[in-house]
Amino acid sequence: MAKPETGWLDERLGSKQLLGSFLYRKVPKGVGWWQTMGSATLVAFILLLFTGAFLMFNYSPSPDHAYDSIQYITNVVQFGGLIRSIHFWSSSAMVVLVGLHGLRTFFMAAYKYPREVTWLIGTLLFLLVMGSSFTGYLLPWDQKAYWATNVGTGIAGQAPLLGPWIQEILIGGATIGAQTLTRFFTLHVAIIPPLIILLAGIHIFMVVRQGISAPPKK
Amino acid sequence: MSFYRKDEPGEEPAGEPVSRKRFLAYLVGGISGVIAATVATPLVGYFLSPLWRKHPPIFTPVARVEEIPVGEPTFITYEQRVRDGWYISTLSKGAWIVNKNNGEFIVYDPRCTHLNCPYYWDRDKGMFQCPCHDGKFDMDGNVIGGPPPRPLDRLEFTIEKGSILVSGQTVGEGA
Repeated sequence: MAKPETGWLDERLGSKQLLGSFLYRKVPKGVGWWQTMGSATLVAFILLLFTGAFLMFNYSPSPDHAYDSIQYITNVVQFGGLIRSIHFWSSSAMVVLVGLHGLRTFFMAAYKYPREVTWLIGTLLFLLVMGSSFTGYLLPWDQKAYWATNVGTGIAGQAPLLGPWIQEILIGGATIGAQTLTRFFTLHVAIIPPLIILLAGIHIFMVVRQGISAPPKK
Repeated sequence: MSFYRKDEPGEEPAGEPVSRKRFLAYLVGGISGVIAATVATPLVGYFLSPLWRKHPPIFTPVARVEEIPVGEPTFITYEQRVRDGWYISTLSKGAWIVNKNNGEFIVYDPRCTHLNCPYYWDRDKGMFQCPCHDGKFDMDGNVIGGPPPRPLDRLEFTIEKGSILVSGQTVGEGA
Protein backbone atom coordinates (compact mmCIF):
# COMPACT_ATOMS: atom_id res chain seq x y z
CA MET A 1 0.00 0.00 0.00
CA ALA A 2 2.66 2.46 1.06
CA LYS A 3 5.88 2.78 -0.87
CA PRO A 4 7.11 -0.77 -1.27
CA GLU A 5 9.91 -1.07 1.24
CA THR A 6 11.34 -4.48 1.79
CA GLY A 7 11.28 -5.38 5.49
CA TRP A 8 12.95 -8.17 7.39
CA LEU A 9 9.93 -10.45 7.28
CA ASP A 10 8.98 -9.59 3.74
CA GLU A 11 12.49 -10.40 2.51
CA ARG A 12 12.00 -13.91 3.85
CA LEU A 13 8.29 -14.52 3.24
CA GLY A 14 7.67 -12.49 0.12
CA SER A 15 4.49 -11.46 1.89
CA LYS A 16 4.13 -8.14 0.12
CA GLN A 17 4.07 -9.78 -3.28
CA LEU A 18 1.68 -12.44 -2.04
CA LEU A 19 -0.67 -9.88 -0.49
CA GLY A 20 -0.30 -7.68 -3.56
CA SER A 21 -1.38 -10.40 -5.95
CA PHE A 22 -4.31 -11.12 -3.65
CA LEU A 23 -5.46 -7.54 -3.21
CA TYR A 24 -4.50 -5.85 -6.49
CA ARG A 25 -6.36 -8.02 -8.88
CA LYS A 26 -7.81 -6.64 -12.03
CA VAL A 27 -11.54 -6.34 -11.62
CA PRO A 28 -13.89 -6.13 -14.58
CA LYS A 29 -16.29 -3.23 -15.03
CA GLY A 30 -19.81 -3.60 -13.71
CA VAL A 31 -18.76 -5.57 -10.67
CA GLY A 32 -20.74 -4.65 -7.58
CA TRP A 33 -22.35 -5.90 -4.39
CA TRP A 34 -23.42 -9.21 -5.94
CA GLN A 35 -19.76 -10.14 -6.30
CA THR A 36 -19.18 -9.70 -2.55
CA MET A 37 -21.42 -12.60 -1.50
CA GLY A 38 -18.56 -15.11 -1.59
CA SER A 39 -16.39 -12.99 0.70
CA ALA A 40 -19.36 -12.41 2.98
CA THR A 41 -19.88 -16.18 3.19
CA LEU A 42 -16.21 -16.53 4.12
CA VAL A 43 -16.58 -13.96 6.91
CA ALA A 44 -19.61 -15.81 8.29
CA PHE A 45 -17.63 -19.06 8.16
CA ILE A 46 -14.67 -17.57 10.05
CA LEU A 47 -17.06 -16.27 12.73
CA LEU A 48 -18.59 -19.74 12.96
CA LEU A 49 -15.18 -21.39 13.31
CA PHE A 50 -14.13 -19.19 16.22
CA THR A 51 -17.45 -19.07 18.09
CA GLY A 52 -17.97 -22.79 17.50
CA ALA A 53 -14.56 -23.71 18.85
CA PHE A 54 -15.23 -21.66 21.99
CA LEU A 55 -18.67 -23.16 22.47
CA MET A 56 -17.00 -26.57 22.58
CA PHE A 57 -15.26 -25.55 25.80
CA ASN A 58 -18.52 -26.03 27.66
CA TYR A 59 -20.61 -28.34 25.47
CA SER A 60 -21.24 -31.93 26.42
CA PRO A 61 -22.51 -34.12 23.56
CA SER A 62 -24.47 -36.60 25.64
CA PRO A 63 -28.26 -36.81 26.00
CA ASP A 64 -27.94 -36.36 29.77
CA HIS A 65 -26.06 -33.10 29.63
CA ALA A 66 -26.29 -31.53 26.16
CA TYR A 67 -29.30 -29.36 27.04
CA ASP A 68 -28.00 -28.43 30.50
CA SER A 69 -24.54 -27.57 29.17
CA ILE A 70 -26.08 -25.24 26.59
CA GLN A 71 -28.25 -23.59 29.25
CA TYR A 72 -25.03 -23.20 31.25
CA ILE A 73 -23.27 -21.55 28.29
CA THR A 74 -26.22 -19.25 27.68
CA ASN A 75 -26.98 -18.21 31.24
CA VAL A 76 -23.86 -18.65 33.36
CA VAL A 77 -20.64 -18.36 31.34
CA GLN A 78 -19.51 -14.79 30.74
CA PHE A 79 -20.30 -13.75 27.13
CA GLY A 80 -21.66 -17.28 26.57
CA GLY A 81 -25.05 -16.06 25.39
CA LEU A 82 -23.43 -13.56 23.04
CA ILE A 83 -21.08 -16.13 21.54
CA ARG A 84 -23.90 -18.63 21.10
CA SER A 85 -26.01 -15.93 19.43
CA ILE A 86 -23.19 -15.02 17.05
CA HIS A 87 -22.85 -18.71 16.15
CA PHE A 88 -26.62 -19.03 15.65
CA TRP A 89 -27.03 -15.93 13.48
CA SER A 90 -23.82 -16.50 11.51
CA SER A 91 -25.03 -19.97 10.58
CA SER A 92 -28.33 -18.58 9.28
CA ALA A 93 -26.46 -15.80 7.49
CA MET A 94 -24.03 -18.25 5.92
CA VAL A 95 -26.85 -20.32 4.42
CA VAL A 96 -28.50 -17.20 2.97
CA LEU A 97 -25.20 -15.79 1.68
CA VAL A 98 -24.01 -19.02 0.13
CA GLY A 99 -27.39 -19.28 -1.60
CA LEU A 100 -27.15 -15.76 -2.99
CA HIS A 101 -23.55 -16.43 -4.02
CA GLY A 102 -24.58 -19.53 -5.94
CA LEU A 103 -27.57 -17.81 -7.58
CA ARG A 104 -25.38 -14.85 -8.61
CA THR A 105 -22.85 -17.21 -10.16
CA PHE A 106 -25.59 -19.08 -11.97
CA PHE A 107 -27.54 -16.10 -13.31
CA MET A 108 -24.40 -14.24 -14.41
CA ALA A 109 -23.13 -17.41 -16.07
CA ALA A 110 -19.89 -17.14 -14.13
CA TYR A 111 -19.68 -20.93 -13.89
CA LYS A 112 -18.76 -21.27 -17.59
CA TYR A 113 -15.35 -21.96 -19.08
CA PRO A 114 -12.74 -21.77 -17.58
CA ARG A 115 -14.41 -21.76 -14.15
CA GLU A 116 -16.27 -25.09 -14.19
CA VAL A 117 -14.04 -26.65 -11.53
CA THR A 118 -14.55 -23.67 -9.21
CA TRP A 119 -18.29 -24.09 -9.71
CA LEU A 120 -18.21 -27.82 -8.99
CA ILE A 121 -16.20 -27.27 -5.82
CA GLY A 122 -18.74 -24.59 -4.95
CA THR A 123 -21.60 -27.08 -5.20
CA LEU A 124 -19.71 -29.43 -2.87
CA LEU A 125 -19.21 -26.52 -0.47
CA PHE A 126 -22.94 -25.79 -0.65
CA LEU A 127 -23.71 -29.40 0.33
CA LEU A 128 -21.22 -29.19 3.21
CA VAL A 129 -22.86 -25.99 4.47
CA MET A 130 -26.24 -27.75 4.36
CA GLY A 131 -24.74 -30.71 6.23
CA SER A 132 -23.23 -28.43 8.82
CA SER A 133 -26.57 -26.71 9.38
CA PHE A 134 -28.42 -30.00 9.68
CA THR A 135 -25.97 -31.57 12.12
CA GLY A 136 -25.61 -28.38 14.18
CA TYR A 137 -29.36 -28.10 14.57
CA LEU A 138 -29.52 -31.25 16.70
CA LEU A 139 -26.85 -30.23 19.20
CA PRO A 140 -29.00 -28.08 21.57
CA TRP A 141 -30.97 -31.30 22.18
CA ASP A 142 -34.26 -29.56 22.83
CA GLN A 143 -37.66 -30.52 21.43
CA LYS A 144 -37.20 -28.52 18.23
CA ALA A 145 -33.78 -30.06 17.58
CA TYR A 146 -34.97 -33.59 18.26
CA TRP A 147 -38.05 -33.44 16.07
CA ALA A 148 -36.34 -31.54 13.25
CA THR A 149 -33.74 -34.31 13.11
CA ASN A 150 -36.50 -36.89 13.28
CA VAL A 151 -38.17 -35.29 10.24
CA GLY A 152 -34.86 -34.73 8.37
CA THR A 153 -33.60 -38.27 8.77
CA GLY A 154 -37.13 -39.51 8.03
CA ILE A 155 -37.01 -37.72 4.68
CA ALA A 156 -33.67 -39.40 3.93
CA GLY A 157 -35.32 -42.71 4.79
CA GLN A 158 -37.92 -42.18 2.06
CA ALA A 159 -35.33 -42.36 -0.72
CA PRO A 160 -35.95 -45.37 -2.97
CA LEU A 161 -34.00 -48.58 -2.29
CA LEU A 162 -31.14 -47.11 -0.23
CA GLY A 163 -33.35 -44.92 1.98
CA PRO A 164 -33.54 -47.06 5.13
CA TRP A 165 -29.80 -47.66 5.03
CA ILE A 166 -29.04 -43.97 4.62
CA GLN A 167 -31.34 -43.22 7.53
CA GLU A 168 -29.65 -45.75 9.77
CA ILE A 169 -26.19 -44.47 8.84
CA LEU A 170 -27.27 -40.91 9.67
CA ILE A 171 -28.88 -41.88 12.98
CA GLY A 172 -26.12 -44.29 13.95
CA GLY A 173 -28.64 -46.74 15.37
CA ALA A 174 -32.27 -47.74 15.33
CA THR A 175 -33.63 -44.60 17.02
CA ILE A 176 -32.42 -41.06 17.53
CA GLY A 177 -30.43 -40.99 20.76
CA ALA A 178 -26.98 -40.88 22.29
CA GLN A 179 -25.30 -42.30 19.20
CA THR A 180 -27.03 -39.80 16.91
CA LEU A 181 -25.88 -36.93 19.11
CA THR A 182 -22.19 -37.93 19.17
CA ARG A 183 -22.37 -38.72 15.45
CA PHE A 184 -23.83 -35.35 14.52
CA PHE A 185 -21.45 -33.60 16.93
CA THR A 186 -18.41 -35.25 15.34
CA LEU A 187 -19.62 -34.45 11.82
CA HIS A 188 -20.40 -30.89 12.87
CA VAL A 189 -17.07 -30.07 14.55
CA ALA A 190 -14.44 -32.50 13.24
CA ILE A 191 -15.40 -33.67 9.75
CA ILE A 192 -17.28 -30.92 7.92
CA PRO A 193 -15.27 -27.81 8.96
CA PRO A 194 -11.88 -29.17 7.79
CA LEU A 195 -13.47 -30.22 4.49
CA ILE A 196 -14.92 -26.72 4.07
CA ILE A 197 -11.53 -25.15 4.85
CA LEU A 198 -9.81 -27.39 2.31
CA LEU A 199 -12.33 -26.93 -0.48
CA ALA A 200 -12.89 -23.22 0.19
CA GLY A 201 -9.11 -22.76 0.07
CA ILE A 202 -8.98 -24.28 -3.42
CA HIS A 203 -12.15 -22.39 -4.41
CA ILE A 204 -10.71 -19.01 -3.36
CA PHE A 205 -7.31 -19.78 -4.88
CA MET A 206 -9.04 -20.43 -8.21
CA VAL A 207 -10.99 -17.17 -7.96
CA VAL A 208 -7.82 -15.19 -7.28
CA ARG A 209 -5.94 -16.97 -10.03
CA GLN A 210 -8.62 -16.67 -12.71
CA GLY A 211 -10.09 -13.36 -11.62
CA ILE A 212 -13.74 -12.44 -11.32
CA SER A 213 -15.72 -13.12 -14.46
CA ALA A 214 -17.05 -10.07 -16.28
CA PRO A 215 -20.80 -9.61 -15.77
CA PRO A 216 -22.75 -10.39 -18.94
CA LYS A 217 -23.87 -7.49 -21.15
CA LYS A 218 -27.57 -6.75 -20.78
CA MET B 1 -7.35 -1.77 -21.51
CA SER B 2 -10.71 -0.09 -21.07
CA PHE B 3 -12.05 -3.48 -20.02
CA TYR B 4 -10.53 -3.05 -16.56
CA ARG B 5 -10.81 -0.34 -14.00
CA LYS B 6 -7.89 2.02 -13.94
CA ASP B 7 -6.57 1.33 -10.46
CA GLU B 8 -2.93 0.39 -10.58
CA PRO B 9 -1.04 -0.32 -7.40
CA GLY B 10 1.72 1.92 -6.18
CA GLU B 11 0.50 5.15 -7.75
CA GLU B 12 0.88 7.94 -5.21
CA PRO B 13 0.19 11.39 -6.59
CA ALA B 14 2.90 13.74 -5.35
CA GLY B 15 2.03 16.65 -3.09
CA GLU B 16 -0.90 15.03 -1.31
CA PRO B 17 -0.16 14.16 2.32
CA VAL B 18 -2.56 11.20 2.32
CA SER B 19 -3.80 9.96 -0.99
CA ARG B 20 -7.39 8.79 -1.49
CA LYS B 21 -6.16 5.28 -2.01
CA ARG B 22 -4.11 5.28 1.15
CA PHE B 23 -6.94 6.82 3.14
CA LEU B 24 -9.27 4.06 2.01
CA ALA B 25 -6.68 1.46 2.90
CA TYR B 26 -6.43 2.88 6.43
CA LEU B 27 -10.21 3.07 6.64
CA VAL B 28 -10.70 -0.55 5.61
CA GLY B 29 -7.88 -1.67 7.91
CA GLY B 30 -9.34 0.30 10.80
CA ILE B 31 -12.86 -1.07 10.35
CA SER B 32 -11.48 -4.60 10.07
CA GLY B 33 -9.55 -4.05 13.29
CA VAL B 34 -12.64 -2.79 15.12
CA ILE B 35 -14.66 -5.80 13.93
CA ALA B 36 -11.91 -8.22 14.92
CA ALA B 37 -11.61 -6.61 18.37
CA THR B 38 -15.40 -6.71 18.81
CA VAL B 39 -15.42 -10.44 18.18
CA ALA B 40 -12.18 -11.17 20.04
CA THR B 41 -13.17 -9.40 23.28
CA PRO B 42 -16.08 -11.71 24.17
CA LEU B 43 -14.08 -14.75 23.05
CA VAL B 44 -11.19 -13.88 25.37
CA GLY B 45 -13.61 -13.01 28.18
CA TYR B 46 -15.40 -16.32 27.68
CA PHE B 47 -12.12 -18.22 27.86
CA LEU B 48 -10.91 -16.40 30.99
CA SER B 49 -14.31 -16.38 32.75
CA PRO B 50 -13.51 -19.23 35.19
CA LEU B 51 -11.25 -16.67 36.92
CA TRP B 52 -14.15 -14.52 38.12
CA ARG B 53 -17.01 -16.99 38.07
CA LYS B 54 -18.84 -17.24 41.39
CA HIS B 55 -19.61 -20.62 42.89
CA PRO B 56 -22.81 -20.11 44.86
CA PRO B 57 -23.30 -23.01 47.29
CA ILE B 58 -26.54 -24.97 47.27
CA PHE B 59 -28.12 -24.95 50.75
CA THR B 60 -29.96 -28.16 51.57
CA PRO B 61 -32.54 -28.29 54.37
CA VAL B 62 -31.40 -30.96 56.82
CA ALA B 63 -33.60 -30.60 59.92
CA ARG B 64 -36.25 -28.54 61.69
CA VAL B 65 -35.02 -26.47 64.63
CA GLU B 66 -37.48 -28.13 67.00
CA GLU B 67 -36.18 -31.61 66.05
CA ILE B 68 -32.83 -30.93 67.72
CA PRO B 69 -33.13 -31.30 71.50
CA VAL B 70 -31.22 -28.85 73.67
CA GLY B 71 -27.92 -30.19 74.96
CA GLU B 72 -28.30 -33.46 73.05
CA PRO B 73 -26.15 -33.67 69.86
CA THR B 74 -28.26 -35.19 67.08
CA PHE B 75 -27.01 -37.01 63.99
CA ILE B 76 -28.85 -36.26 60.78
CA THR B 77 -28.37 -37.47 57.19
CA TYR B 78 -29.18 -35.52 54.06
CA GLU B 79 -28.67 -35.45 50.30
CA GLN B 80 -26.23 -32.69 49.37
CA ARG B 81 -26.60 -31.39 45.82
CA VAL B 82 -23.24 -30.40 44.35
CA ARG B 83 -23.00 -28.09 41.35
CA ASP B 84 -20.14 -28.63 38.88
CA GLY B 85 -20.90 -26.31 35.97
CA TRP B 86 -23.88 -27.84 34.17
CA TYR B 87 -23.47 -31.08 36.11
CA ILE B 88 -25.37 -31.43 39.38
CA SER B 89 -24.72 -34.55 41.41
CA THR B 90 -26.00 -35.73 44.77
CA LEU B 91 -23.92 -36.91 47.69
CA SER B 92 -25.26 -38.72 50.75
CA LYS B 93 -23.91 -36.88 53.76
CA GLY B 94 -24.34 -36.66 57.48
CA ALA B 95 -23.76 -34.09 60.22
CA TRP B 96 -23.91 -33.71 63.98
CA ILE B 97 -26.10 -30.80 65.08
CA VAL B 98 -25.75 -29.34 68.55
CA ASN B 99 -28.44 -27.14 70.07
CA LYS B 100 -26.77 -25.32 72.95
CA ASN B 101 -28.71 -24.09 75.95
CA ASN B 102 -29.39 -20.64 74.56
CA GLY B 103 -30.74 -21.95 71.24
CA GLU B 104 -27.42 -21.43 69.51
CA PHE B 105 -26.70 -24.10 66.89
CA ILE B 106 -23.45 -25.70 65.75
CA VAL B 107 -23.22 -28.13 62.82
CA TYR B 108 -20.23 -30.46 62.86
CA ASP B 109 -18.66 -32.37 60.01
CA PRO B 110 -19.23 -35.98 61.12
CA ARG B 111 -15.61 -37.04 60.58
CA CYS B 112 -12.94 -37.11 63.25
CA THR B 113 -10.16 -34.60 62.55
CA HIS B 114 -7.58 -37.31 63.16
CA LEU B 115 -8.16 -39.78 60.31
CA ASN B 116 -11.73 -39.07 59.14
CA CYS B 117 -13.40 -41.83 61.15
CA PRO B 118 -17.09 -41.28 61.95
CA TYR B 119 -17.43 -40.48 65.66
CA TYR B 120 -20.48 -40.85 67.92
CA TRP B 121 -21.99 -39.06 70.90
CA ASP B 122 -21.43 -40.86 74.18
CA ARG B 123 -24.45 -39.75 76.20
CA ASP B 124 -23.21 -41.15 79.53
CA LYS B 125 -19.85 -39.42 79.40
CA GLY B 126 -21.22 -36.35 77.61
CA MET B 127 -18.64 -36.24 74.87
CA PHE B 128 -17.98 -37.14 71.25
CA GLN B 129 -16.06 -40.37 71.04
CA CYS B 130 -14.12 -41.68 68.03
CA PRO B 131 -13.96 -45.48 67.95
CA CYS B 132 -10.80 -45.72 65.83
CA HIS B 133 -8.11 -44.19 68.02
CA ASP B 134 -10.05 -43.05 71.07
CA GLY B 135 -10.28 -39.40 70.10
CA LYS B 136 -12.53 -37.39 72.42
CA PHE B 137 -14.23 -34.01 71.88
CA ASP B 138 -16.54 -31.98 74.09
CA MET B 139 -19.82 -30.49 72.91
CA ASP B 140 -18.01 -27.38 71.64
CA GLY B 141 -15.79 -29.59 69.47
CA ASN B 142 -12.63 -29.13 71.55
CA VAL B 143 -10.21 -32.02 71.78
CA ILE B 144 -10.26 -33.43 75.29
CA GLY B 145 -8.38 -36.65 74.63
CA GLY B 146 -6.71 -38.88 72.08
CA PRO B 147 -4.72 -38.07 68.94
CA PRO B 148 -6.94 -35.56 67.02
CA PRO B 149 -4.75 -32.57 66.01
CA ARG B 150 -7.52 -29.96 65.97
CA PRO B 151 -11.11 -29.39 67.12
CA LEU B 152 -14.05 -30.73 65.11
CA ASP B 153 -14.67 -29.08 61.73
CA ARG B 154 -17.85 -26.98 61.53
CA LEU B 155 -20.15 -26.80 58.52
CA GLU B 156 -21.60 -23.62 57.08
CA PHE B 157 -25.32 -23.41 57.82
CA THR B 158 -28.19 -20.97 57.93
CA ILE B 159 -31.58 -21.03 59.59
CA GLU B 160 -34.59 -20.05 57.51
CA LYS B 161 -38.19 -20.26 58.74
CA GLY B 162 -37.29 -22.82 61.37
CA SER B 163 -35.28 -25.02 58.99
CA ILE B 164 -31.57 -25.67 59.30
CA LEU B 165 -29.87 -25.52 55.86
CA VAL B 166 -26.36 -26.79 55.17
CA SER B 167 -24.15 -25.92 52.19
CA GLY B 168 -21.59 -28.67 52.63
CA GLN B 169 -18.80 -26.11 53.05
CA THR B 170 -16.53 -26.27 56.07
CA VAL B 171 -16.35 -22.91 57.79
CA GLY B 172 -13.74 -23.52 60.42
CA GLU B 173 -12.64 -25.44 63.46
CA GLY B 174 -14.44 -25.67 66.76
CA ALA B 175 -13.90 -22.92 69.28
